[in-house]
Amino acid sequence: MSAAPAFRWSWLAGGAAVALLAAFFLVLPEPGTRAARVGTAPGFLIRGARVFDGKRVWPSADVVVRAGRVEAIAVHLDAVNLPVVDGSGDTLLPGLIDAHVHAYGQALADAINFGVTTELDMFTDPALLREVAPARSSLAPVAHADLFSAGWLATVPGGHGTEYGLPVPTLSNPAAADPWVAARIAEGSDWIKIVYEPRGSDGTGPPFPSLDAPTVTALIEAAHRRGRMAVVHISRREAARTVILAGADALVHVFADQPVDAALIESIRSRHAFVVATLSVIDAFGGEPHGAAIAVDPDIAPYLSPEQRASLLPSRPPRIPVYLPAIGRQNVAALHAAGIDVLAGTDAPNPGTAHGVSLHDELALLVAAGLAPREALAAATFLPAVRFGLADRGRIAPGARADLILVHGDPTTDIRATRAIVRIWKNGAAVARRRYACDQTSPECDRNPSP
Amino acid sequence: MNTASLAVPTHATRARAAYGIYLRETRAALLRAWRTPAFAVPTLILPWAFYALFAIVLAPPGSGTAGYALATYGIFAALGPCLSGFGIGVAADRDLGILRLKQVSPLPPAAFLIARLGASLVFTAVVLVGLYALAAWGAGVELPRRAWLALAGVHLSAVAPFCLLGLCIGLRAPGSAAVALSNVLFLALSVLGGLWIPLFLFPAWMQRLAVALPTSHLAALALAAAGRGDDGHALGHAAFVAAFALGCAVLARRFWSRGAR
Repeated sequence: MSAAPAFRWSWLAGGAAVALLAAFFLVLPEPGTRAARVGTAPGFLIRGARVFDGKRVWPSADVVVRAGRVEAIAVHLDAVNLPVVDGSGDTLLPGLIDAHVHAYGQALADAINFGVTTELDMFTDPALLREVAPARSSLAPVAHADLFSAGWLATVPGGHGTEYGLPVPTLSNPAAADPWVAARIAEGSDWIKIVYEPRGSDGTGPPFPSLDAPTVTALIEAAHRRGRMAVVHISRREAARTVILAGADALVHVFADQPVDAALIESIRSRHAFVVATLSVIDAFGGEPHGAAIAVDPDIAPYLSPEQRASLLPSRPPRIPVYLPAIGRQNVAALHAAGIDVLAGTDAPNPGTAHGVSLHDELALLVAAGLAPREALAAATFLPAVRFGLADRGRIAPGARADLILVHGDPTTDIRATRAIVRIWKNGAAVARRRYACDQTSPECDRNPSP
Repeated sequence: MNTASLAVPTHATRARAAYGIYLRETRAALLRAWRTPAFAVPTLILPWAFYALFAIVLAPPGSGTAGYALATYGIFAALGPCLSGFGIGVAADRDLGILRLKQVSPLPPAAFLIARLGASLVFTAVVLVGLYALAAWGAGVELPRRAWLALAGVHLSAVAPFCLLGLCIGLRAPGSAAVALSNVLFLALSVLGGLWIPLFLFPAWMQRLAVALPTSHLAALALAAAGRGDDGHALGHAAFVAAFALGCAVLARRFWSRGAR
C-alpha cells in the first residue's frame, strides 16, 4: 500500500504550512512598528526667518529642528553640518490648529496641504479616530494632519447630528448621561461634545428636537467626573447662557443671533470657559459665503482638492436664520476684549467651508472682528494647544513637535500672508504640497500640475 | 479471499481509513481547483486588486480606509472561494453526474462536502495571507497581535456560512443557473453587506436591508475584532451568522437527500 508514505508527506506538508502561517502572523506589524522602523526625519536649520513662536514675534531668528522636534530657537545658531533653509523674507509659524472640524475621508490630507497640522474634531466616527490616533504620539514623518476628537456627539434621538446617517448613540435623560460618557471615553473620545439647540421661550427654534438642560448638565458633570472637557454646540445666546451656567468648558460656536451681554461675558470669564469662533461657517450659513472668493485666490486655487472645491462652492448654499454674520463678529470682539480665549475653528467641511483652507479665511475673519493679527495667529496655534491640553504643539520652542509652516511675507501684520505657504513640515519632515490639475471651470488654477 | 481481509477492522484502522478518504478527497478538490486557473486566479486576485485600489491607491493619507477595508475585504475574500468554488463546483459535478456517482459509492457523504469545505478554507487562507500582507506592508495597517489573530478567526469562520450557501445553490440550481445565481449573490452580498463601501454611506433603507444579510454581520464582527468599531452587538451578529449557517445546512441536507434518492 502506498497510503502510509502519502500520509507522512501530507503531514509534513501540513506541518510546514502551519509553521509558515505562524511565522507570517509573527511578522505582521503591531502598532508602532512603522514609526520605530522609519525613525524621524533628518534635522535642518531655518536661517533668518521672522518667527511667530505662538506668543511673540522674533524679528529674525534661527530655528534648529532635529529628530522631529524643535531643538533650539535663538537670534543666531550654528548650522553644524545641518542643511540650511533660507528664511529671509519669510515668517515661520507653528503648524496651524483648527479647533472645530468634522474629519473623515480626505480631511487630514486636505488640512495639511494648507499648513493645518492638527485638527480638533467635534464629531466623527470613533473608528477613524482609533485608526489615526497612534500617529499623533509618534514623531515619524506622516503626510496628514494629526487628529484629536470628541468621537460621537451627545444628542437626542432625531436631534442635530443624527441627520447624516451615522449610527450616533443618542440619549434622552440625565440618568443615561454617565454611561453615555463612559462609553465615549472607552471608545477613545478626547473630550465630550454636546449639542444643545432648545426652542426659545417664544417657541422659535430649529426643526429638530434637542437634549434638555438637565441632561446637558448631567453630561457635563459626568465628563468632569471622568476627567474630560465638555464642549457644547449652541447657536443662540440663551442656550449659551444655560450651558455656561451648567459648567460647560467651551462653546464650539460663537452665538450670532443676539449681541452678548455683560452678565454672560462675566459668566464665561469667571468660569474660565473659552469660545471657538467658527465665523467661517456662520458667514457661510448666514448669507455671506466666502467660498467663491477663496477658490480664486491664486495662493490657494492650485492646491484645492476636488473635495475642498466642492465643499467651498456648494450648489445650494444653506441658510440658518439665527446666523447673523455681523452679530457673530461683534460677539467675538466683545468676548476677546473681555479677556476670554477665542479660538480659531471652521466647522469644515460644512457647505461653504473646507478643511485646511478655511482656517486661513477664519484668521482673516478674526482680524476683521478686531483681533490683532498675532492674536489671531495665537488663536490657531498656542491657544487651542493650551486649552485642549496638547502640550507638544502650537508653539515653536525647544522640545515642541516640529509642526511648522514657512509663509512668504509677514502675517503678524498682514494676516492674509498665511496663505502664501512656502514650506510645510510635519514632525520635522517636509510635506510635499499637492497641486491639482485644473478644469474648465477654474481658469485661475495652475495649468501644469506638479506630480 | 484470505482470512486477513475478513478480520473485523479495529476502531483505529477505521478512523485511519476514514481520515485517508477525507484527506485524499480534500487534496483532489484542491488539485482540481489549482488546475483550473480560470477559477483560481480571479478568486485569488480579485480581493487583492480591490483592496490595492481602494485602500492604497485611492485612499488619501490619514483617511483610515486601510484598516477599515481590511476588516470588510477579508469577508469578501471568503465569498469568492465559497460561492464560485463550492456552489458552482458542486453544480458542475451534479451536471456531469459526478455527484450522483459519489452519492451511490460507499464514500461517506460527508467526505465529499468536507473536502470541498477544506479546499475553500485553504483558498480563503491563501487570499487572506495576501490581503494581510498588502494591508501590513502596502497600506501600513498595524494591529496588536491578538487583533490580527481575532481578525483571521472571523475571516476564516466566514467560510462556513458562505460554503453552506454555495452548497445549497450547487445542489439545487442547474450548472448554468448556478453560475448566474452565484454571481448575483456574490455582488449583492458584497455591496449591500457593506464589504466594499461602509454601510453608513448608504441611504437608510439600504442600511436596513443590510441587516438581513450575513455579510453585514460578519463585517461588524470583523470590525470589532480589528478594534475598528464595536457596536456592542457582537453576540447578536454571531447568532445571526450561526442561524444563517444552520438554515443553509438544513436546506442543503434536504437538497442532498433529494438528490441521493
